[in-house]
Amino acid sequence: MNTKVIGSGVLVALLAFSVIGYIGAFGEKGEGKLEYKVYAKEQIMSGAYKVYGNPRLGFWVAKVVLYNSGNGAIKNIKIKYSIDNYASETEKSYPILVPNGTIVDLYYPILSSEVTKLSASTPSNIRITITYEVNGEKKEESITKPLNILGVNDFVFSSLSPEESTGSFYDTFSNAPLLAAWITPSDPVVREFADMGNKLAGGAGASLSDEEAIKSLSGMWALAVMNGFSYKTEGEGYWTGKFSEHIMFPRDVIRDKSGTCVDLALWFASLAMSQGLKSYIVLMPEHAFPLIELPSGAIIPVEATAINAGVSFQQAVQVGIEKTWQEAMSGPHIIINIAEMHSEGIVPPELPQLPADILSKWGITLQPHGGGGATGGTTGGVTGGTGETGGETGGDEQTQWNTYLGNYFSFDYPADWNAPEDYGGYVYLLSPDGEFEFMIIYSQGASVQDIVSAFEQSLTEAGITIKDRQETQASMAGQTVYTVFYTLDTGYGDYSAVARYFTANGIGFAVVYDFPAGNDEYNQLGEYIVGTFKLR
Amino acid sequence: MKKFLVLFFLLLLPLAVAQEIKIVEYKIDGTMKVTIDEVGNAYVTEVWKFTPNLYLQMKQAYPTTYMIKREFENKRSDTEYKNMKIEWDDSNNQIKATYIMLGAAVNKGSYWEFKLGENDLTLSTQTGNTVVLTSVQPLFGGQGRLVETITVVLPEDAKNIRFENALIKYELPYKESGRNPIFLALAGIAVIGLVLLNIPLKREKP
Repeated sequence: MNTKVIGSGVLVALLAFSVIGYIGAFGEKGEGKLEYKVYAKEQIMSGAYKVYGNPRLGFWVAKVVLYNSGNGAIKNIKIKYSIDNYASETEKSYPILVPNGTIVDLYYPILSSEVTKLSASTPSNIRITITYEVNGEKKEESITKPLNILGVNDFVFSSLSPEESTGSFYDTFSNAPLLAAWITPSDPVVREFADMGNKLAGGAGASLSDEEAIKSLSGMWALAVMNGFSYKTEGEGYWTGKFSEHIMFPRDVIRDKSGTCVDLALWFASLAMSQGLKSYIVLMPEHAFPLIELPSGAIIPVEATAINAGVSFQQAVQVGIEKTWQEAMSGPHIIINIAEMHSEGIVPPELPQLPADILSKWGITLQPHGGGGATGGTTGGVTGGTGETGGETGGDEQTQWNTYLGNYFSFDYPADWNAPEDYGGYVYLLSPDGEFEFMIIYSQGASVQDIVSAFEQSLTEAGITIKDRQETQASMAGQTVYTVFYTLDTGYGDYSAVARYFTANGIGFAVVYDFPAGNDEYNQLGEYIVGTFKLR
Repeated sequence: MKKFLVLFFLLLLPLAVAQEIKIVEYKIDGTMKVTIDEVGNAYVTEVWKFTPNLYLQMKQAYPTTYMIKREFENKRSDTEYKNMKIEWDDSNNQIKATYIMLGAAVNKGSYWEFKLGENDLTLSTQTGNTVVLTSVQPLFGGQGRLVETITVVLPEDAKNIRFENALIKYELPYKESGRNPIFLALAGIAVIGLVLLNIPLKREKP
């Protein structure tokens, strides 16, 4: 056998080997076989619709699991998703799925903001189309899954299905962080309410210091008390978490002037955040309340439902510290860091634009509820006086009187005196001879004890000694109030002072006048002016 | 008498008490070893170590390991888990989990891509086919933080391994059946050889 024959034989064998190899006899022959599973959410919350489009948050709406159980590769896989009317088609593609390989594809739809117009659960469909190639042959699978888009105020507390849930507190509130989407510090309505509260407080820069923050929060609280905000109890089954519950946006609380404990917690947290303060929401079994972090880092719990009793902000904090916080810490609870959740992407939806004067239309005013009139200005200037009372009190029937009109109260004073001055927390009137002073000290959210302490401490700081102090009750603005008669050593003679302390409309008041000891004329004048005092 | 200077110092009253209220941020230290096979599945062993206090709270919150398991292996999970086992380790205040993540790495055609969630990831070291990362992940609605060291072992034949944009990318060519151009080249060589051997050239004299 010559070399030519042998060489030809080898080359023929090589040719045969190559052809066989090329057609795939040596590889993993066979074809790919696609198996798939599709998981889809049964419902999504339109109030938190933005979270579903953010992969970082993991709130997918559909999950497609592809598995190649065949021996060959599956190629050019494309998965298309859409939600009827609310999310246009998006496509994901994978060039290859190897044998025994798995692809897990998640659908994070960019939902139309139209969903926020839904006030009730609305049925829709998730459409999924899977196309792929097996050995050059194109194949397609189509799947439709029903989806309920909940109304913008509907909140589902638990993301667990009934068969997965143990019914524990944490299972029942597994969606709790999504409440951050209902906290709207940037809502113009919330900001305006907060600004009004600040105005009520005499102007406060909440982020500057703890004092300013408390002042600002007290003002907002007082504004709510003044406007008759109330706590409404949750409906039966509210805390079961089995299905969606109605959660109000803070603007809804302002409009309705009422809310459940969750609503009020979200509302007050929003107000605080609108002023640059960090806030948290604490969820505990059957209750919720806000925590506010002051500029120093100190944290105050606010029992927001105390608004119902018209108590001061201080009292709401006191209840928060002594009762609510303790109860929360003694059992299961969840603390939601709102700023962190917002930064993670759990953010509020776009809310409808409202008229600039919406607070006025909703009856939110700086006047005590039922009151009206001007909200600005400190000194009145309404002349003519109230002669009938002046005459009856016998001070001087010929005296002409002016009326001081403040934001919260009014009183009469002799027309020939200089008008009272408002120093943003107290209003001061001085007789022409400098011997008689009349002043009203007021503070949003302060209790009677707070005001008494503040007044008496201010005397001490002014170098005035309280020589005698007699407590009694006296009438004031139609009510009997705590009253103290003081004898004061001022350093230039003894003075008598009469101070009436009370709270009204969430504001603590001290109405005080003082005069040289034994001067009955000034004493009567003081009582007369007190008699003209009216809350506005 | 001088005017009284009444400021809002009275409003500081609750703060002395309020100073006592602190929100404790929980920190959990974790280790995770991930071994990825040739089809992209990840075999994971994970350990979370708690402070004693937090460990007790965790056991109160999750009285059964089922409840923890369900946190991962449920209908909401963004991963397909298989063979998950979770154990409490009371003596070390830690929990240990082993599981398989199906399709953890995805074949993107010319390379594979392994994504470890959406956490903040930092590359610590890379040696051969092993990549070590550090992950920081918020927990409990922002009330806690999981700091985890993650060791990723890629398939032995993985090449050109790099960590980019919080992803591990590597090349692992798929041995496609049939239509391999090498066979086509060999066939070409064989044909040319046969032609040269068996067809006489014109220049050769008869």
